[in-house]
Amino acid sequence: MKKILSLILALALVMSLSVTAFAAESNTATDKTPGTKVVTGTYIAGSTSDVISVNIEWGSMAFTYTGASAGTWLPDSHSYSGATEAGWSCVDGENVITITNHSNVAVKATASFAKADGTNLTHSFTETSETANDGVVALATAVGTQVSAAPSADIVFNITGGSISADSNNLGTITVTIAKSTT
Amino acid sequence: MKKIVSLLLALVMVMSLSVTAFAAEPVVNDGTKGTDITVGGEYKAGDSSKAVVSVNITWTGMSFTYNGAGQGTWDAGTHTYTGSTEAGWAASNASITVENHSNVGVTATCSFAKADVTGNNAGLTFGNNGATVAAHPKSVDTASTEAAKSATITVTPNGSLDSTFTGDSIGTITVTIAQAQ
Repeated sequence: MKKILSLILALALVMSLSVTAFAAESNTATDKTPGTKVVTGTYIAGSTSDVISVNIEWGSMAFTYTGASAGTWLPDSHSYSGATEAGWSCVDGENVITITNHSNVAVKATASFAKADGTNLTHSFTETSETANDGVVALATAVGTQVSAAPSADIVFNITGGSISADSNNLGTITVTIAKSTT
Repeated sequence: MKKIVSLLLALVMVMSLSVTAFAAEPVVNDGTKGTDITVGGEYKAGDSSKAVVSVNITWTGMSFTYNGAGQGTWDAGTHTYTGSTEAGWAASNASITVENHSNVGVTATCSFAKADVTGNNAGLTFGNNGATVAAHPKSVDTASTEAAKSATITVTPNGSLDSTFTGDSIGTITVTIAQAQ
């Protein structure tokens, strides 16, 4: 009985298999008329996706506020000489943000500064490669460039005004955002 | 032996430790979110002006007269003296004025070194000695129109001279100026 059932199942399986019929094309060719066949082709463009990869490097971003100095007292004239004003300073190069584009598209890097709460600081961004000095730099695609020669630009950050107290050490945060260039 | 080897190994390991410099590491940004950079600050007081001490000292005359005791006038009728006078220093009004042109307050302190001459037992008393004189007002506020501050130290003789004193100088006054604390 079991054998019969097995046979029936096997038969059902075999019958359910479909057979693709490769209909044969044919031409009739003679010694006067050769057989012909149109050969078709389709072009499918290779898929490319945008890859954004930008290296961002920066210096210590450590700024020093130095209070004003009256200078040297001259008792004969009752005046000071060599007075210095209060101001901000940063070690050369430590206030530079370097942005290097390794993307396969052109990108735009935008730097913005959020001063720490309670401070009255003013700041500036200066681009070494552009003149707008708005904290925005455009970088060309890296396609066609050596890795070591990827498109790169510097943004220099400075504190230009305001002051901090002796117990302050956080001035704020610079945020650099990267976006595919639309132009 | 094992301990020595262990110690040597530990020493080598310690010496090979490198000090990590906290340079900012490059960060890869894939355009999905911003990269934050912390900006640090340090407050440094401006250099305070160096103290410059400059003081004008003016003196009145420093000549004092000591009058020996006088018996008075002999009264032959009573065989007594009348109008005797005691020995003492003649009235004086000597003083030293210290005017401060410094950018700091100063103290002025006088001392007297008696001349070591015969018959000289004189001394001096200084009134307002060690006076403090404030800095020049313009050094505190350059817009100030106030004149320089000053202090006066009075000089009064004491002690005595006796008849053997034939000298001229009874001593020397020294005025020492120091930055006020």
